Amino acid sequence: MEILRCESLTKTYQSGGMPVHALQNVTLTFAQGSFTAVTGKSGSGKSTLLHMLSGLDRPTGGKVIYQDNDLSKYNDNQLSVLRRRRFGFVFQSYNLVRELTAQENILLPVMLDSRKPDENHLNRLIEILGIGDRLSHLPGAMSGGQQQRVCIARALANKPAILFADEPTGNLDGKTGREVLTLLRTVSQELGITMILVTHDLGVAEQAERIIRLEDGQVVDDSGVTVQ
Amino acid sequence: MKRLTMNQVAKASLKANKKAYRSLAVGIFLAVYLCTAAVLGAYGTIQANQQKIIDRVGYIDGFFLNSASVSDETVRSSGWFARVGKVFVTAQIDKTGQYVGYYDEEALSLMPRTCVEGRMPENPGEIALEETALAQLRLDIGVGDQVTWTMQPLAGLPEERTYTLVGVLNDQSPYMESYGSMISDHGTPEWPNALVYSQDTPFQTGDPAVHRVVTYATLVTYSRFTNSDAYEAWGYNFIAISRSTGQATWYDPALEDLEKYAGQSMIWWIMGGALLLTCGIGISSAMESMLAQKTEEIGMLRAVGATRRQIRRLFGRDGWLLCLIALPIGIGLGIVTVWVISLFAERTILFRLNGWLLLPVAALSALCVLLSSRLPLKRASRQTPMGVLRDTGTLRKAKRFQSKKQFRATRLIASRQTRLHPLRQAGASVMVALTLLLTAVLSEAFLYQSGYQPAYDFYIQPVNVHYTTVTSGSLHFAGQAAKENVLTEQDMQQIRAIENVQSVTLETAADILLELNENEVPQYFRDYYTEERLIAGMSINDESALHYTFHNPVMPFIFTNSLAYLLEDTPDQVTDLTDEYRVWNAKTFQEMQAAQRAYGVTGKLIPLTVEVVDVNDPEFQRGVVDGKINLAALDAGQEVLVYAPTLGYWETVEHGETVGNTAGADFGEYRPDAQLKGMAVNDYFRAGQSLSLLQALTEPDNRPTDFSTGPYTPAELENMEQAYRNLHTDKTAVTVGAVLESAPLGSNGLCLMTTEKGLRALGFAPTQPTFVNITLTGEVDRAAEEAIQRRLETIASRAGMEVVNRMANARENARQQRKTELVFLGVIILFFAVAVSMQVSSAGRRIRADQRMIGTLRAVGADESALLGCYRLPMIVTTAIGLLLALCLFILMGTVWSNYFLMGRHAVITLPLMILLAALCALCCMIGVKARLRQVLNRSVVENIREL
Repeated sequence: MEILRCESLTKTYQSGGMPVHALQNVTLTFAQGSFTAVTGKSGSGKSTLLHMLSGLDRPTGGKVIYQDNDLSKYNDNQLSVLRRRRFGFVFQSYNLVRELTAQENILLPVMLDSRKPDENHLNRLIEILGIGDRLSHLPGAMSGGQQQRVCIARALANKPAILFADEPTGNLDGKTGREVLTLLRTVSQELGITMILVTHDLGVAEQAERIIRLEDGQVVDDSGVTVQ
Repeated sequence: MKRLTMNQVAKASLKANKKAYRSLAVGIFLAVYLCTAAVLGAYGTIQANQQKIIDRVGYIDGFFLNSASVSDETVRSSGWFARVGKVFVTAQIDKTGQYVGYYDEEALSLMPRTCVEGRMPENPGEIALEETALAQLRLDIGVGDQVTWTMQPLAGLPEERTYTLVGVLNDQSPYMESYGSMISDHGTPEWPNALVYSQDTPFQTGDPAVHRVVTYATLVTYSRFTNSDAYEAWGYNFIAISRSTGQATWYDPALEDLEKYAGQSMIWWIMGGALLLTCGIGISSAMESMLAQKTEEIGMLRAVGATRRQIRRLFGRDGWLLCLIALPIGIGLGIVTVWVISLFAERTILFRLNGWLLLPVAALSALCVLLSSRLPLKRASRQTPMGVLRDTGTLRKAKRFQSKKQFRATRLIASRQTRLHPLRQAGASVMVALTLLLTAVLSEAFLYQSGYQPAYDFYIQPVNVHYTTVTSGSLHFAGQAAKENVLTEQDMQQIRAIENVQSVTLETAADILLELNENEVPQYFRDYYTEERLIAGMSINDESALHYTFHNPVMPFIFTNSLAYLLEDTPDQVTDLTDEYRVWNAKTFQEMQAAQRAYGVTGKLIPLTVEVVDVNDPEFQRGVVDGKINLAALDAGQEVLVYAPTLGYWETVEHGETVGNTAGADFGEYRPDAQLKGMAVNDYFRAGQSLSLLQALTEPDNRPTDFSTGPYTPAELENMEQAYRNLHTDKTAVTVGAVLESAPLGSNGLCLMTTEKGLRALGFAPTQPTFVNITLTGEVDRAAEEAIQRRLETIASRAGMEVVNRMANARENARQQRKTELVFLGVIILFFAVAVSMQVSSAGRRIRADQRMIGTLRAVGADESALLGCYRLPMIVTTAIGLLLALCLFILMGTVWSNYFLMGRHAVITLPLMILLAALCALCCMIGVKARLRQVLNRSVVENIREL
């Protein structure tokens, strides 16, 4: 069953007066509960694609449709609500709020939604991620792997429908990276979360059910499971 | 390769980070600007003060009265003085209290004389009179006319002289005489009111008196001089005039409100200081946030081996460079500001530039920059930013998610930020507080002014309230001059005859002596003076209390004496005294008995005043307890009224200690637990009783000499009696028309009362200052008002008095007040803008720095209102702290300076106004911050979180 799709997605940046085509006419469909990896060389447009799909940025052309809703018709506040309720993000550079402790960072999406946190769910997440003894620390006092785990916990705290991950292992060493990735998969599968992951690491990409390869803003290869 | 200096690095850094430096530059500029304004303002206030003294008496530091006995050589070679001028007094004009003399060249240059009309005398036989002298001589002559007087040389025989009036001079002698009367043992010193040519034909007898006017030599101060041997030798009649502080001046009406001037220059310092503090905090927070942005750079520099000291110097140098740029601009604008203020307040602040003032300005600004940048620099060089963030001591420990209530993420972020960077908001808080406080002061002043109404339209008052008294032993006498310096009956008639004048009342009093019929002192007097002594807080058993001056609470002029004389019948009855007091008492008895013999009276002499009152006031009618008020008899001088209040004395005792004592005629007002300890009830005065009164005045040539410390020898007593006899004495018998127990007299106690005509009919001189209150009929137009004022001035100047136009004063006050209020309003708007922009720019800086965090929050689903919440709380807290601070200061000012400010009088209006303004301030900040936030939100989340 389809959860997210994009049609003729185009993104053009202006760089020194010259138009740079980051994405050109990309049309993709993502099935519910699927695990997709987007790969490609630096500058191939893979991060841009993720930003467009997740509503973090607006495309120059084409549209993104989430469960039959056209995201381009959403205003900024509606997008915000969608992001905090339905989407989760894991960034390469963690992007934790440095004034807040790990626990508070994790709770952030729930708090922004003014809801009561699901304690059982959160405690399980923390247990799985193994960050129980780091909850009262500020991000500055944690290692990269720990920060990334906090980031994953934050992304999953509100049980999102889709988890977007942008090079989640990019700043981590090989062993930690693999651990983090395994955790991501485990939790997502358990909760039935659709996962879209951007990576330039083929080893990482191979763990996905479907691999999309981009080159110069165009899909050059799309292998694996497709929507029925 | 060129050497890279620290300055070059700092300059390059300045160029590259213009935006970040803007707030720092503004802070430093404001510091310099405010330093300049405060220093120049305070200087201008002092200068304005000095100018007033210069306008009156020139550039002297002091003067010696009657210093003929000291030679020029002694004075010059003493080394204490830079310049010495001499003023000669040759003779008295026609026994009038006006004196002729001349200034030498040095004195003229030290105390410049300006001619209101005509010129200075340049030939023998020419004369120039001071303005008031001309009026007081009541001569109808102008420049060019001739006048003939009998001149009385200071010692010697009178001569007839004819002078040509060539000029009318500005007044100088009244001020010199009023200064001089402070130290003179012989009444008002003579200072020439009329100047003649210095080579004028000398008088055949009598040497002129010489006064020396001096300026100090370098490094000489009043205190150094007065502690010197030179002062000991010839200094007892030295008067210092301190222009620099306005102190050590006496009875100068120009300086009556000395406190006000001190307060004014104080206000400059307080305002300047408060603003400077704000600037300092502003610089500090600007520096801190600038350094916070540069933490990586600092870390990098530390990594390549820069020492802490080098880092402090490098980043501190930015401040110094900005200081150099801000100095000329700030000083320039400060000068312009003070110039503009001086235009508005021309009499209280003079615009005077002095190159030396730049020194304190530069030093103060530098100090401000140095001190305020020191702390952030120290912190930056000592700590890494991670260190700050790792400080988790304040945060909660948690291992598992406990069941906690939901909380607001934005509020948490905001409060965490405020806690980590407390300094950033302090400056804005102070600014908000100042804005609100100024608003409160303005509002109170405005509301006070709008409720003010003067009681009279005009009044006439003495120019110099100094009293021509002469001391002799324990007796004091008013000078004959008291009789001359008053408005005559014709003058009063002329005032009453002026068109549109509705009522004219005269306030004055004559000090007289009441002769008791027998030597027995009535119980009322004994009780009355005992109670009165108790008012002064003196114990009955206190030995020195026996020497307490007894008098009416107004002023002890004519006569002061010891209580012993009044309460004891003979000197011998005063027992249990130390030798000193025994001698004193014996002396007093001797003096008083000599006076009794001289005036041919047998009974004791009691000092009283005869007050001029408006008996038409129904209050007087109501106070009568015996007899009735007969206006015609009062006017004719046949009768007087007696105000003989019943006086009570209360004591309040708490825990066995006396905590308060009160005495007075009013029985209803004291604490219920106060105990009545004594009463004085009139048992002496009654209607129809005959009183024997006398008044003694001195003349310049028959002053009683100062007598020995006593006890007196028979020869001395004889001398003294003769001196008393020589005094000009008026003695009269009068009938008591009515006795009053209450009267609308202000602070006056037991006294006699009569009408204005009555006092003249009695033949007594009003020895206390005279005031004339004039009320006009309804509204008069401005031209008529000016005509009335000119007429009044002509009449008043004859008695050496001046006219105060209360209506014009009220108008002028209102005008000045409006001007001040406008300036205040401008300052408030400026402060408000600064307070808002400080907060907005501080939040703006944070928003820029927090761009990534904002992006992250947006990515996890924060909308605009949630993000605004992050920056709303610090602003509300800042404004609230400002409001709280302002309220505290308001209450403090209201209690500490309740005499000067009427703080809180209109709190019902002022307090809501402050709160409203604080809310408005917060609202403006919010709008500003919203705009700043929009700039960030207009970019996409991706742009926000992109690595910079």
